[in-house]
Amino acid sequence: MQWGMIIDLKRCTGCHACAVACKQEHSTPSGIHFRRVEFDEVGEYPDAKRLHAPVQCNHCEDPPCVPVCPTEATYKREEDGLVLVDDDHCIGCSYCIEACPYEHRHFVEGKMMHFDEGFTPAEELGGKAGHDWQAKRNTVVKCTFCEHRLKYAAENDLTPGVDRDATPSCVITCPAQAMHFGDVSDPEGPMQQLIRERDGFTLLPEAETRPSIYYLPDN
Amino acid sequence: MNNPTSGQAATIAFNPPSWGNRPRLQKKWDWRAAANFIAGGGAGAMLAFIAALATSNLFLIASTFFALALMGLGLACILLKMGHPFRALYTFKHVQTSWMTREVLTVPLVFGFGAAAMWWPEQHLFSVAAAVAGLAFLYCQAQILFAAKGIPAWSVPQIVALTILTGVAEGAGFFAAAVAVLDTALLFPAAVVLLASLAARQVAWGSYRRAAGARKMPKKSMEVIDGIGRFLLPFGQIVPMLLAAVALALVVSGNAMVSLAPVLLGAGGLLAALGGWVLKFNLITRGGYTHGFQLPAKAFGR
Repeated sequence: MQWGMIIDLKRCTGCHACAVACKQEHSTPSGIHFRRVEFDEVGEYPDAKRLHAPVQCNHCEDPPCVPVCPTEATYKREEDGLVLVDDDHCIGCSYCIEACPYEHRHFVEGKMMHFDEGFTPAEELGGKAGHDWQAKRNTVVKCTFCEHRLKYAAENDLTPGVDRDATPSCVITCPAQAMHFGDVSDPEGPMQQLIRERDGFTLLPEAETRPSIYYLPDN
Repeated sequence: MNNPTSGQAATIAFNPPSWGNRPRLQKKWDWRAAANFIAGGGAGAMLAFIAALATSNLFLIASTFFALALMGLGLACILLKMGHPFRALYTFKHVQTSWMTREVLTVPLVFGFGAAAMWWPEQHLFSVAAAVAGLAFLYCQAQILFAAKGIPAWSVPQIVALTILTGVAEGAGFFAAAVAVLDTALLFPAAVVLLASLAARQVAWGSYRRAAGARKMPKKSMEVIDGIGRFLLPFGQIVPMLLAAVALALVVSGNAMVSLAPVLLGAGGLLAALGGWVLKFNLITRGGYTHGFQLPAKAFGR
């Protein structure tokens, strides 16, 4: 089993709702965004085109961040393929940051709160994910595919990708329904079927990381 | 810029998000990380030259002490850089795949055997063991850079040979400087190894530069790489090679000016080390641009 995501570039409008939803879900410190929205352009006026592409940790099947970590703080979970960080063992050497070709790992330092007056109630809670950001200071953090929601799914017999409370917040927030979440390891499953139908692709295939996030082209 | 309504200072200036698709310069591995590569690599190789060529106990003790102190300085810089230095013992955990763990494992061997070599300089085996551990440390450093797939300039395969051979050249440079000060009887072999290691570094640099140029490399990384080359060739390679060659010629000929040989060799050695330092410092702190973001043509339906 490998949790993965499909992002349809034909539907994505670049509204950034997914980035905001992620920020709210995890209450990440100032400057840290697990989910970003990048863009790329091709052509020249009057034949120019811009595409927006939400990006985040790809939870790669061959993650380069895992073998380099000297403390095994970064690990790939066997049962579902999530790439996670144990902040109790992270020494903050940032080797994993240098190893990730996608720039999806973040060092927690500096200003933790967004407003000088102090932490907001949401920041104190660590968002719905319940992160203890003070404990994570000087360690590396990243997208978790809303692992807390997947855990809730397992405890309550819900289906991630189908049931809203069991699906990553970015996926359920998208107003264009541009994202799908599910098991990408099943060659006959609905995720891989959709990838084949629409000729989906991954980012930086030359890095040979085998990302679990697939993009569907705008065609 | 202050918010005109609340006077709230801009919050994003401190930790700016990486919006935008251009390659970014990595900032996490700064001068402190570069210091470990610089100090440790040259020190590790210097131990090899000491083990191979030292003939006097005084020279062995003093030069080994210098090498260990240099390596220790680099490691201290790394501790300053770590987010949680008091968790340093965890770094021994992942020897199966992590070159950083393997590098850390060589450290007690380098210092242990190095200290034993200083305490029992007659027991050549300790010096040899320290040398082997020092070269292993250098090799691990080279692999650490190569495994950093997020930085195109570091993940060129030829960086392994380049990192090793510049470490060897720096070690030979320090060895030559130590010989110039402490034991001029070793001028001949020190000059020979310095010349040979500088030649090897030049070959490795050329190979790395060609390979980097042939890959999809951020433009700014290539600018830094070419800038390194503009300094390295004249000041880090040609001048030290000339100085070492003249020193060698003076020693061999027994010329009246042979008393200048230690000065020339020492200066050549220090310049050789400086060349390596410039190479590593710039490659790590100024050449470390990321891949950036780009969609393939098929994404646009073209």
